[in-house]
Formats: sequence, C-alpha cells, structure tokens
Amino acid sequence: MVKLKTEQAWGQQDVVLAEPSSPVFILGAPCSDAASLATSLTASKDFWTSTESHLLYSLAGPDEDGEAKLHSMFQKASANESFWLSKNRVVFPEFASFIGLGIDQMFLSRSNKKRWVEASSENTLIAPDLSYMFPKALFIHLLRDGRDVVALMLKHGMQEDSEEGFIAACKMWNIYVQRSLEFQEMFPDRALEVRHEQLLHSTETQVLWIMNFLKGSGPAAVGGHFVSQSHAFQERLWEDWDSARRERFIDLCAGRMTEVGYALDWY
Amino acid sequence: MTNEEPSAASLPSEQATPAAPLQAEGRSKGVFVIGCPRSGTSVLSWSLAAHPNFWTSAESDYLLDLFGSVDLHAAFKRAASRPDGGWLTKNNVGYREFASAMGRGVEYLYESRSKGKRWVDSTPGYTLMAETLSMTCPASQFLHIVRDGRAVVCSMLKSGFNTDWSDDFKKACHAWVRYASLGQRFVAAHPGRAMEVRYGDMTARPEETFKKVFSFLGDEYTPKAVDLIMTKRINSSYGNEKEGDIRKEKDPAAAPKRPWEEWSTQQTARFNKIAGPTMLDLGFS
Repeated sequence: MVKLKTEQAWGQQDVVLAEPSSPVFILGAPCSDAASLATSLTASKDFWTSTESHLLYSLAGPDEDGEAKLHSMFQKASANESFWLSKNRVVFPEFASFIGLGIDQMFLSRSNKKRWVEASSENTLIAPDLSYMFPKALFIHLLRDGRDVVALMLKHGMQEDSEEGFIAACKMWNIYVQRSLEFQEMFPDRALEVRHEQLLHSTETQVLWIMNFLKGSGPAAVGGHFVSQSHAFQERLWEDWDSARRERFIDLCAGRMTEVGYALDWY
Repeated sequence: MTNEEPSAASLPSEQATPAAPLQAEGRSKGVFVIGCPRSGTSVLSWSLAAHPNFWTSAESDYLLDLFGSVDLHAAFKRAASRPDGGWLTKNNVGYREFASAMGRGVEYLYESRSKGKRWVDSTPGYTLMAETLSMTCPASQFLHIVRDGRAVVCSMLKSGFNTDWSDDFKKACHAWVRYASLGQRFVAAHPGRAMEVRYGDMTARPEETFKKVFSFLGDEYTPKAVDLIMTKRINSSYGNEKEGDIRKEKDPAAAPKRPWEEWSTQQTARFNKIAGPTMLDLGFS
C-alpha cells in the first residue's frame, strides 16, 4: 500500500488507501492493429492483456446528450456547495481516480498483478478521462496509414463496403487520429506515438523505444511476437480501390494524412 | 471495436482466468440510511455519527447517476454480450463482481474523508437502488427508516424542496408508498444486512432503539446518539420562515404532533386510497 493522492484543493494529508497501478492503453483508430501490439507486449513478463474490454467507454463515454458521462455526473453532483462532493472538496481528477481505482483492481485481479494492457479502440475518444481515472497509466498512440485502416474496416465488416460505409470509415479514421493527437498534446509525458509501418519495418528499434517509454523489460520477445502477429495486416488492400474511391479518400482524409506525414503517393 | 483479434495460439495471459468470488472481507463497512425523503434519514445518520466510530456528511446523491441500476447493468451487458465474448466473459467476471469493482472506488472515496471511521450516507434516493448498492458495496449495511406516511406527506408538502412531490399531495402520497414499499422489500430480502428502524420508536424510545441499531451494526451503544435525537432535529419542515431555514437545527418539542389532522376530508380519503394498503402493511393504523 502506498499513498494515493486524494486531495489537491483541500490541503489535508494524503490518506493511505491503495496504490493505483500503471496500466497501458493503446490508442488509435479501429483496425490499426492495436490488439497485436497489446498481445505482443505480454511477451514481456511485465505485461498482461486479454481481449479488448469495451467497458470503459460505456462508463465514461458520452451520455444521451452527448456529454461525457463522468464529467456531467460530477458537475451535477457538485453543483451546490451543500452537496457531498462539494462539501468534501472532491475535485474531478480526484473523483475520477477513485472510480478508476476499483476498475483497476478488477483488471489486476485477472492480470496476476502484472501491468494490464487495454486496446479497445474507442478508449481513444475518452483518453483524457482515462488519464484521470488511471493516474499512473501510460498511452501508446498506434498511428496507421488511413488507407490501410479504411480498407481493413471495410474488409472486416466494421463498415459496410458501400459508398456510405467508405465515407464513414474515412471519417472514423480522421476523428480517432485527431483525438489521439489532441491527447498527445495534452499529456506529452504520458503518451507515445508509434507508427505501425515503422513498427513492422524497424521492429527492434521501435520496440526498444516503446519499452523504454513503458519502462518494461524483454523487448526482443515483444518485437518477435509483433512481427508474427501482424502478417495478416500488412496487406495493402487499398491498392485495389478504383479512382473514384481514391478521389473520395483524398477529399476526406488528405488533410489528416499530410498532417501526420503520410504521402499520398498512389497517383 | 477492431476485428484484429489476436490468435488464440500463444500467450498464457490470454487464457481465461477463474472467476474470483465476491469478497466482502476487506471491504468498507459503510452504512446506508435509506427511506422515503422526510422520514428522518438525516437525523438518524447524524445520530449515528455522534458515535466515535462513525462519520457522516451531506447526502451524496451522485451514486444515483453513477450506478443508476440501469446504467451500470447496461454497461455490463454491452461489454459482456459481444460476439467475441468480450473481456468480462473471457475473464469470468459476472455482474456482481463487476458491480463490486465499481463500488470499490466509491468506498475509497468515502474512506478518504471518513479517516478510518465507518461512513454513513443518508441519501433517500438510494432506497430506489439499494439492491445495486448491496452489490457495489458488499460489506455495507442498510438501515431503512420508516415513518408514518401521513407525517411524511405533511413534511414533504412543507419542505419547499424543488421536487415533484413537494407541492402535489397526490404525488407525495405515491412517493411515500414507493419508497416505503421498496425499503420494506429490501429489508425482507437482506435480513442480515438490512434493518428497519421506526421513526416513532427512535423518537419515543431512543435508548432502546439505538441499542438495537448499534448492536445490528456490530458496534457499542453510545448515549450520545440519544442525546442528539432528544435535543435536535435536522432538515425539519417546521419553524421555517425563510429560505434556508430548513437546514437549521430545531427543537424537537416544537414539532407539530399530528399535522395530518388538519387535512380536508378529501385529502384524507385520497391518502387512504393511495397509501392505505401500505400503511396497514407496515403496521400503521
């Protein structure tokens, strides 16, 4: 047991309760190969993962009015000085960290106390709240070429292989990358951007970089596992797109692609 | 969301983990005072907090939004019923364990303020989600305070609160029936964890009542709880002349004795029609 920082504003002494662990969240658009990276990390003795939880977004994502649930609930519950949260001077980061602590312990109960790795892609949309809920968590933004991501979304049925589905997939890649970049800017010390293509082609270097950031051991095993896991996702399915689809992709994603340094070199 | 499910081949950590039994050991022994609004939930919790081992504060309310049973269960169902089985299923996490994990953080928050004492929360709305709370906080205990529905309705209508029952006689009657019935059913379903406390007993025979209450809670009786109930009323609906007066402590001797005797014949008939069966069920004449 160590001290959990329980109060910033109140100024009372820290209370010894429980230690939040140091989980790892892999952010990025769906079909960016986050699951392979998560699984590969478990080749190190320090990490554990399972299937994607798809749990945290239900708890902290938007409510029916589009407001982040934890935020809106906290604001409502602390709107008056006589309310419990106000009276006890609970601030949002502290509140979120307590809610996260119980969830953290649930994951730890399965990870055998190893650092748990969560790769549900929709966590990308609530990453700032996750950073408060899990104050010692680190985040890897797995960035992947939008063309690959969109093509895989269609291939795996995440979006219908139609004009509408294609547009939806393009928008999805855009927004997930945008949110990841925003998070990196907000929390530069807690987020690391990794390119999928570099991870495949310079695996050793990239994994060393990741493990250094995560302060994890056993990078060689992790790298080997990633290469073996990721074969299925190296396909350049977008090369089969017709010119209309290519044009549509350019229309929707050119800005983001160039912003993050992908060349639109297929013409 | 992604379909890039890793191959089932390789790593030991991917294998399903046996379910952990729901443990009450090591969990926070908090107390939820439940009951209909205007039933004496506040004065009971502050009386408990007169005991050196207990602590209370304002009504927390936020658990209604955080755990509102539908939301918590919906989140669980969404995550557990995915085509790929999902994390919860793969790791044998059932709803009870999931709820308990969610509650652990809340318990830590209470503990961070109660500084080692047992926390008491007297949010009346938690009567509506007591079943969920029994899972989120598996070592907590519940006191259901029951007060004569006629007195409760009178107090609701004089409360000045911004609620639908504070200025509507019929809604006040229905609210009492709902809360009192749910609380009664909860106590019946959880005899080891929940106890009914009668407001009338607490005020007329406080020593005897608090001895039973502290015995149920597994703690020593303290006369300080009786001192408080004999000398103070908290959040009472009488003697309020201006906004905010309801929060002032009042002299119990000044409380009106049977305010419902001023009801019209029509109001009495309406109350009997709506709340009569519940009154009889709870042993009120």
